[in-house]
Amino acid sequence: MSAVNMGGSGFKWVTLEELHDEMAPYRNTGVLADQFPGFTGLWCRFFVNLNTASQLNNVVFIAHGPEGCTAATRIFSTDYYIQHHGQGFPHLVSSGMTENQVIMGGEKSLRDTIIEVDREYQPSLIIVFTNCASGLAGDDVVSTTEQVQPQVKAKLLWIPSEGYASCWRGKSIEASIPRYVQLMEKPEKVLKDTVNILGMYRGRFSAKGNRRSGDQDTLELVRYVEALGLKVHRVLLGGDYNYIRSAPQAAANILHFPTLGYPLALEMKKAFGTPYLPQARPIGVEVTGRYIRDLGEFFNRREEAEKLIEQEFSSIRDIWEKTKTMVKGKVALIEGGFHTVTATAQALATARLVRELGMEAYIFNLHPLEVCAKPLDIDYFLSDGCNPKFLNYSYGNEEIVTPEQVCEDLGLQEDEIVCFCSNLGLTAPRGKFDVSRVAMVDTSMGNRALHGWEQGIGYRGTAANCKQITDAIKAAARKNKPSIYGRIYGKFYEFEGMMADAERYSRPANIS
Amino acid sequence: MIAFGVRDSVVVFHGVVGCRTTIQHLQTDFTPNSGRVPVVSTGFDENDVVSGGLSKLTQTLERVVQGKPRLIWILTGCATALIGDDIRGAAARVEKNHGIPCIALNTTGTAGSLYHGADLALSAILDKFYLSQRKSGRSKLHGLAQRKGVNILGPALMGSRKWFWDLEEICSLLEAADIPVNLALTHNTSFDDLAGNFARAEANLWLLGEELPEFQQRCEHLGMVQWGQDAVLPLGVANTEEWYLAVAERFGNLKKAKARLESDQQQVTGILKDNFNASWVLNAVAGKRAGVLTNAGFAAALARFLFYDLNIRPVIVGLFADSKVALERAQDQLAPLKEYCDLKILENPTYFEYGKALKEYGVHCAIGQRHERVLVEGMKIPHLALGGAYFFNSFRFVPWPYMGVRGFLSLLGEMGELMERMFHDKEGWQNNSFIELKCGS
Repeated sequence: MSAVNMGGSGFKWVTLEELHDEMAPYRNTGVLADQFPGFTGLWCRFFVNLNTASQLNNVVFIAHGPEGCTAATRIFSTDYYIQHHGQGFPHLVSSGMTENQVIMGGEKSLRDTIIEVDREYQPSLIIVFTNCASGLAGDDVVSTTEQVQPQVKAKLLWIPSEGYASCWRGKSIEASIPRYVQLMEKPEKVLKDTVNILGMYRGRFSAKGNRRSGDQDTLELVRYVEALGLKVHRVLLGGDYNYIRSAPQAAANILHFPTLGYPLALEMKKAFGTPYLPQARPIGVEVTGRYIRDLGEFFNRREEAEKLIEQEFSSIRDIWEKTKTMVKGKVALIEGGFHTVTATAQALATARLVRELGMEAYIFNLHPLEVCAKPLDIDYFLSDGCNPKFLNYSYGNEEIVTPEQVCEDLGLQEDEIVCFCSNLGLTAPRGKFDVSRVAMVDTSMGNRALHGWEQGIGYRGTAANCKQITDAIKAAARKNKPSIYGRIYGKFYEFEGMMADAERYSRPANIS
Repeated sequence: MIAFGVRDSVVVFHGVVGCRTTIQHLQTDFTPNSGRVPVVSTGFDENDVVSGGLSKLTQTLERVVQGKPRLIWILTGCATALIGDDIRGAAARVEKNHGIPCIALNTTGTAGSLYHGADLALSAILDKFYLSQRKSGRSKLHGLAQRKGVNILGPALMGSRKWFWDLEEICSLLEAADIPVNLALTHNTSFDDLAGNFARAEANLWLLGEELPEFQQRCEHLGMVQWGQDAVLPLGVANTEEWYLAVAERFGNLKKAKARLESDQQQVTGILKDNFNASWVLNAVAGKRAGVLTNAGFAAALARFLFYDLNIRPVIVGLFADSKVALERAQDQLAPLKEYCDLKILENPTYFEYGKALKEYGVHCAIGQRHERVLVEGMKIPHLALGGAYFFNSFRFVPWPYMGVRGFLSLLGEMGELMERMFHDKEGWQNNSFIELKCGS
């Protein structure tokens, strides 16, 4: 596909709002199947649900289905993602569903597995995930868990996780997260000046006395809460069953990642009337200020909030101003990515940041189905005035565009852009589009989540983002000594005139 | 570190047993593909401080000559050097009575460092087998026009933990560019080569930036070119391209060097292209901040490799060096980075200074030597040892280098291990262990 013919190939730059209006609702699967031919989506719903559930403690998971699902999770999902982020080893057992059970029903197998797990592991919580086989067989999991609950000590929770049910992470999240509210109890009283933080993603948090430990994003929000003289009640999803059940005692909910936070906040409002504050994923000076102000306003801590904002901004003012100077006149290309739960939210939060820094944002490789699968995220960002340009395309069979193609289409030179992308897998920029020539900032959540690393939110996260941007711009000024990516996908050596005719990446449609 | 590389030799350490124990361990550095050079101690003790250790030295030498080594080294420690035992006299008697060449050197720690010792040893070799013979008219020197190829100088001193595999790779690269390798000084060097063939080479190719003034002076007398003290080591792809093309242009065949680079590139590309595993580590380490601490030349090459090849920011670079000129050379090699990367260079820092700098600059990982691992990981910063001596807890048995284009694969593998440590939140695993919860701590 030629970049200069992107328009002829069906690509169209629209605003996010226009895309939102153009897309058929997610439930119109027939219309969407015509609009987006071939396969779409990347992750099994079971992987997604287990990923978020693994942030809990003192829990055993039962995959009601064949053993293959469990094995696949063990060798792929837990290895690649779950084990990184401080969660404990996920104890995952299978009910070992067989062909007979598909025909005759697998309820007995599920019941026996629950009883055995409760006896052997003695967890406080057992989460049952149903998979494709048990879902299609129509096993009555609700009745089974209700019947067996009196026989076991663990609290039982069922989260439907059939792979065929939804391929888009947004819908998987929206369907599964509110179920955790079933673990919560109506509070006898609401604790004054307490907040829950909802939507923690790939993180952990624990507080023992004065000691706080966890991922840097969560700790940043905790820091703000405590600086206003408030108390963090619960950080979800995290903790064990007893931790979760008392969450409604908090006076308000504030949000971490909107994708995981909004569904839970809305359900808690519906079930218990717990109010929530609307800001989420605050990357940038202005939105972080609003985040803190909202908190201060709600809890009548306006003065403390203003003082905190001034103090925090002072500490990052230099890097903020330096970054604004360095990006002046540049355009931000933001790659959405198919890979992560938070592709939409992270891309839009980044777009909001770069707009504040003075750059126009163009988002590409974010599948439109991601957009319509996450209406809560989209509504939030649109209502916050975040309305970047968006490359609308069918992305059939996981076809992607390269940053080079986007650059050419927009008529941009390499020094005019800052590219926010992921160098992962087959979507990694390469060849001529190398860090030695083009400012590239890695935004993939999974690979930013190293302990001690400022992941990106709040004032400190904003400063970290700015440092990454300025470092990337500096590194790209050298125009020589390309990285290994530049070499492998281009000419390998500078003596070959390596940048002259670097190989362009074009990936064939992934048709199996 | 020079004696150990000479096969068929024996080191008689005239000094206390404690020093000998350390030395014998250091000898492990030379065993891969070479063999063991024994270190025999005279067991100098308190009594010998009073009455002198010469008799012990003589007895030890009498035992050693029974094994008929081709060469005996007599080296001293602080105690014996200060006492002033006549080691040269002892050496002369061995040569006279048994016909075995014997080199005696005062290698007391008070006289200088590792590099001073290397200078002494290499100079002694030239004195004994070349310069003295030239004076006496029995020259083994070849005419300048007949000289070809290079001697490789200081492989064990260049600072890489895999230096012996690196040496093999460097030799392979040189041979591919039509640059014959005469001798490695020293590793697996035969006595006959050492004593007879040193001056066949046109030049000495240095793998270290330190000065060895006595040796250099002698080489000038012999009309030998010195090359490489200013050159960055061939660590990583960008550095290898720079080093290799320069040495090929000077001494060999540039076209063949390019052909070899292309061939190596095909091997690396064949493994890494479209490789999700490779992209995982390349993606994960990109943009991260690193500290580097090791000997100056290796540190400079390492910092450049991290920045150019992997897009890592080497924000702290600690240079260990003996001489001011070695520090200057490393600084020059790092100079091209300064415009494109925030870089703080520490010259011969204390571990305290280095640790404070790591914290101040918020590094995500540190790469250096085994010695500072506990310091760094005690600060909860993941650490990787690529530099330093091999002998100490270095389980690198696979014969694959760090240097050269192909060495990139080895480096990337090690970076993958480091990356895992950067991302794995072990404290969380421990705190959230279900089994701990159920069974108690």
